[in-house]
Amino acid sequence: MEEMKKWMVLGIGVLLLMGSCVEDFIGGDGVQGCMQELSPDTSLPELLDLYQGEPLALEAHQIKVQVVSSDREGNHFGVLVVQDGDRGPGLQILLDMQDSHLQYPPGTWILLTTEGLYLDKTNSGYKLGTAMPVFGTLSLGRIPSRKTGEYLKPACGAPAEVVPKEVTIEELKDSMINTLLRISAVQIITDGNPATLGSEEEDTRQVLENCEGATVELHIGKFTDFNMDPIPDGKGSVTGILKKDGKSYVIHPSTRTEIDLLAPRCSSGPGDPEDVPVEEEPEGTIAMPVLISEIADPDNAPEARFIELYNAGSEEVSLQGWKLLRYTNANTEAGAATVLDDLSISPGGVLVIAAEAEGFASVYGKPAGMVGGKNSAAGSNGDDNIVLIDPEGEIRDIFGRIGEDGSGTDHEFEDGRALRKEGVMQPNPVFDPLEWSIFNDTGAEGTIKEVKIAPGDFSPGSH
Amino acid sequence: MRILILFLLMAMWVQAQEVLLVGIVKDSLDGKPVRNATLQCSEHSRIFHSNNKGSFSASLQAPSCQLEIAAEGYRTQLMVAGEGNSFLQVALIPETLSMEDWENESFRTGGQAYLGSGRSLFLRRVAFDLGQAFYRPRGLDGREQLVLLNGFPMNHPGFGRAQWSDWGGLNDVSRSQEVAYGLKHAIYPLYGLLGNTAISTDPLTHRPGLRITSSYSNRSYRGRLMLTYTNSAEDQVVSYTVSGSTRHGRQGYIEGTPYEAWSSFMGVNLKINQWTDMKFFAFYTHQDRGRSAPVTEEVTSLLGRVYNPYWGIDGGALRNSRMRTSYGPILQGILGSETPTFTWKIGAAWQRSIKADSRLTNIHAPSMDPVYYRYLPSYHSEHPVFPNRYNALISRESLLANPQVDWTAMRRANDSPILAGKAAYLLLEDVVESTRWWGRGEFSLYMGRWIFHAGIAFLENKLLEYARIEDLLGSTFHEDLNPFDGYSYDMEGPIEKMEGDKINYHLLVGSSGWNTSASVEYKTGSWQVAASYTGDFRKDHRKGFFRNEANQQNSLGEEEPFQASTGLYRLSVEFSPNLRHHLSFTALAGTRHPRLYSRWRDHKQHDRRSEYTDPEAVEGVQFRYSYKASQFQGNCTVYSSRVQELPIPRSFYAETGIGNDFYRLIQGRTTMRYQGLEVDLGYEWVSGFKVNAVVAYGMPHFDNDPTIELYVDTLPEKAVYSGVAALQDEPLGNGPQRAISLGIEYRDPRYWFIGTTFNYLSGAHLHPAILRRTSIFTEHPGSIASPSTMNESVSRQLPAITLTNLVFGKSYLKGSTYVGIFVSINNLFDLQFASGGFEQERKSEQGAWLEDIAGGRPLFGPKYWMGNGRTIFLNLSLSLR
Repeated sequence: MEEMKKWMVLGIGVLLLMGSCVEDFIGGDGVQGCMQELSPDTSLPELLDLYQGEPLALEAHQIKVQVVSSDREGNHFGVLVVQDGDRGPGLQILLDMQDSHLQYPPGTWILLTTEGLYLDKTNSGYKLGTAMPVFGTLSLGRIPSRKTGEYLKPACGAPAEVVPKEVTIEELKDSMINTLLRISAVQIITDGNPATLGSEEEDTRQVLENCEGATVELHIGKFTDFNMDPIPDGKGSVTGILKKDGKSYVIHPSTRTEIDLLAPRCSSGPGDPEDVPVEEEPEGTIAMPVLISEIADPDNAPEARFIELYNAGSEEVSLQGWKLLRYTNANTEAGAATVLDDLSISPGGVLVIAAEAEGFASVYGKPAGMVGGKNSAAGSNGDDNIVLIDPEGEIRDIFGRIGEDGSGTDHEFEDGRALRKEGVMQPNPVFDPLEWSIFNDTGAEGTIKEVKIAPGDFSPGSH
Repeated sequence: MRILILFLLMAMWVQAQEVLLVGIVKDSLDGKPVRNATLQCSEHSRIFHSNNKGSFSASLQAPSCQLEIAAEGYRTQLMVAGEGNSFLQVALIPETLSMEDWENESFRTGGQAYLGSGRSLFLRRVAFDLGQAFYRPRGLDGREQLVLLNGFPMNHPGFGRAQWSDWGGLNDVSRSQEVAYGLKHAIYPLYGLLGNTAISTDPLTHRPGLRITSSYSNRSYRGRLMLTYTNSAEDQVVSYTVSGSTRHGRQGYIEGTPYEAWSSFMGVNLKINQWTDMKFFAFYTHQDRGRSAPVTEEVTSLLGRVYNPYWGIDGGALRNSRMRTSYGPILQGILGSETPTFTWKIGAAWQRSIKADSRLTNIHAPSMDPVYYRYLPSYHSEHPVFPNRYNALISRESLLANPQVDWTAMRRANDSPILAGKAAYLLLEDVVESTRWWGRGEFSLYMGRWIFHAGIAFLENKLLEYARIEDLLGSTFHEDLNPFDGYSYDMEGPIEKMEGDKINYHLLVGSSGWNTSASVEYKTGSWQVAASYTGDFRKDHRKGFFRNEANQQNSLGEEEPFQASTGLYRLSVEFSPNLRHHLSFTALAGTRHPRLYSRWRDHKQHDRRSEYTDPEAVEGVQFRYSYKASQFQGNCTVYSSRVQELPIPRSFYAETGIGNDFYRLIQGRTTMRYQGLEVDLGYEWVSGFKVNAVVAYGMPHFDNDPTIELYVDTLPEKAVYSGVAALQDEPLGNGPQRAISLGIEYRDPRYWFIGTTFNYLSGAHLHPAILRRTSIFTEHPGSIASPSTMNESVSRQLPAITLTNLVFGKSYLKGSTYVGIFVSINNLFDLQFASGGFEQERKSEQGAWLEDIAGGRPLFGPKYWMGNGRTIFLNLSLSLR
């Protein structure tokens, strides 16, 4: 009996020991995180000074630089452009990493470790990459994806703001190459160009001119997301990285929004005055330039929803025969029509259509120009599409895209506001989100995540 | 009716011919009755059981026979019965240590379907030696084997295979398995070409007392603890067994494969009267395990055989991105009665099982697979335009330094202000919640030389399937759109989805139907003829809960059910001129339903059915010869079968002659031919010392050129390509098909044993890339040669494998306490081998493919499953009576 007990105790002891014994074979921690503090030992200009005219194998340097380009919309590919604060020139880092904007969004400060990399300079500026012998000549290759994190260590926290340097075309110079610039008061020469910004077959160079006639090229790559967008027919600013091709300067924007050409074109530009539409009034459209100027869905007061129409012309417009249609959600048939007969808008004036008379009056302290009803265009909850129809039954102006539910798109204004940008003086029968400032509760697709509270955040009655 | 009367008359006539045998089975040491011992005249005759008091009654068809008496924990004994010896007293010698016992405890090496097949040397070798290299009997898929748990068929309606993990870890209670291998006759419904395994968890099949088992292994789990208690005694009305087990480990043989599982079981047997009992069983299992990936030769050469790209360190802890979680209960109840001439059973069962497979998704963001082709050295060294050996070296270095999933980089990306909270990376789970109901009734009538069996079963399956966001990895929402075409997956729900929300697809597929089976057997002294039939009526339907933008009219709501009936027939003839020789011939033919997932072209996205609505056809024959003498025994089986199957559609990204896209491949009826030979020989040289050999030679081939259709997401109504794949006479993609296994074992009377096997396996083939065998491969203007010449130059055969396994055991018996220790070492010489793999479909355009293989180090070369190196399994068990 004693012996049996001994066996049992021994047996159970060994059993429990084995049952709980688990080995751990885990290897090293391979995580590449961010850096709390960047401690450079060399500045970018100092590094670039080392270049002697041949591809240069770099020693170990630590350089602090800021990212100024983005490959998000495809106009920069396989490259990350960095610069030292607002000093030029900048540097192109050749990367194999796809979607590098996710790891290195514009504005990110990074500590660049150069050991094992090569520096070279071509007509288009300084480049950094790995060695790549091509037929016995040393050239530069892209840094392999999974190695990027060892050469480019990002600082922790949100990226800093990137402020492009404001320049004119006349001021462009080689020391600005590979830096972020903003050139204002320019327009795209449209003469003889295709109607789109770029093409899917080949890279496109548009020509930007200012009202004084100076020009610079604008690069739109064939893999760019916005290359099939129509050429913006206005004047404004273009932001991008300056490069040089031969003797010409070329500006490479990272995103579509960096091509901000909404203001009227130069009044007597040297390019092609007969093509400048603001000078003449094409049939019908400009005669009665009534457009949707504001749509409101206050987060705090659904009863204070409204829609505002604006007369951008110099003459009073009668709205006899005009209608506002609401296409609810993804519906392809209009759900409600607001008839605007007997109303008119004075030059520079607005018409405010409220969803509910009492709700509007109590929130904004004044009556609306007319009441459309909860189901009308004025009562939209932010994911509907709204169309302004003229007496001919033609679409005069549109907000959103018929058949597309606004939720999560670039025309959602749920709990927010859609405001026509200043400078937009014509209605547009094709929805262009760039003409609008759109606030909502999601911030999707280039809209701004910011709920709006009535009455303070809205301006019914003035535009 | 007339036939029935005729049968009854015949039965009464033959009743007179049989010999009634009664007796008692006792333990030779303590003289206590041994219950539930099995008594069988020959391998092919009816099995009788001893009752709680150890006594039994059996009727013999032959005037005499060599009776085999077996019971768990005892040495099997042979006795001559009949010929005046109609009362038998059997004293069984307790088997303190046996190979079988070891095998029951042992770690399953892939041949788990044959674990309980203690009697067949061939199946034991498959389960414990050949299965390690993914040898599959006859080259057939697991769907060809019907697995019954207490009589309820457990095969998965979608894939056709049984999900053994549903009762995983409950080895103590699922040990009693009755295997009918191949086309062998059995009373169970006809299903496939591999026969059936019937698992019984009846408390009366378990030894009373407490059993504690603890194991250590480096194969998949590290530690296992199992406890089972059985309470049953003579004349006891209520017998029960409770069992529980846990298995756990941070990783198995392959890196980064955590394992966490627990299981519990309760079984009750209520004796109503001498013949009738009622049984209830409840199972609950939970398993979480990290998966490992097949990799290319380049990856294995750089990172070794244990490398697994699925894991990484997240927040300081190991995290595998591809976890497989499965859990759920099974409840069963059976009422039945068994008399020497008539048995009947009725039962009902319910199962709910949730299975979730996690995976990482990147949305407009680069892949986070550390061995994605762009991150490998070959991407740089084999670049068609600018090969760069420097970059190849740099990637090699970075891969070696940092070969795992970088969770931090994903969190960083998701944190990017550009995304404004939208996820670029997320971890999702593909979930299948299945609910199954069974109801069945069956009876067997033993009338002299005749045995009739009939059964009817109702089965309903509901599979609720969806993807779910498990972890947004620091982002605030996921935009649930197809990243390739921008279509919404769920038009009527919000586009922005949060953690826990269902995304991508959400639907239910189900089947319900009736299964009827009948068999009749007729026996004479040396002949046995049996015929069986199984009919199956099934209704399949799909119900979608998401309106998918690409399939607006075909995704949401319920479709018209599809219904069909099938029937399988089997005829078996056996002949035993004497106790030494046994010959059998079996033929099976008929139709069966395709697996549920084959019904639709893409059931997750829409309800468009596959146009191949006819049932699948199967046919097979086998001839078997067995020889049995006192020291030597051997079996030889020759088989030939043909399966006409409807493969489950699949999706992949490919570069083809008609463009680069995500394609949905619908492969039409595919005929496969399986022919071969199985031999096993065993010889007991001197007492306790045995040598044995197993030889298998199989030649599974494609037997037609299946039709192929390709669809793309944006155009689901119309195939973008239709053609045929030149597969006729090509070997199937399979594990090794030819095997030789030689074994030696010695069992010492002083309670220890040692055994070793030497195994040589060959004939494994990669799964072929289908599109490369169609005209789409050469449709590009740049192509120069015909597909046949291209493929002849690339062999799919894998190298032969040599495996040596060793097992040692020792046990102690003190009174009623038993302690046993077993150790097994697999792949003793630590040889590296690939057990299988597949050709990647990516380069399905000849020019691109030629370019890829030109340098001898293709970026999209075959991927392999690497077999384990030397592994150990250690088991300690303690039984207290």
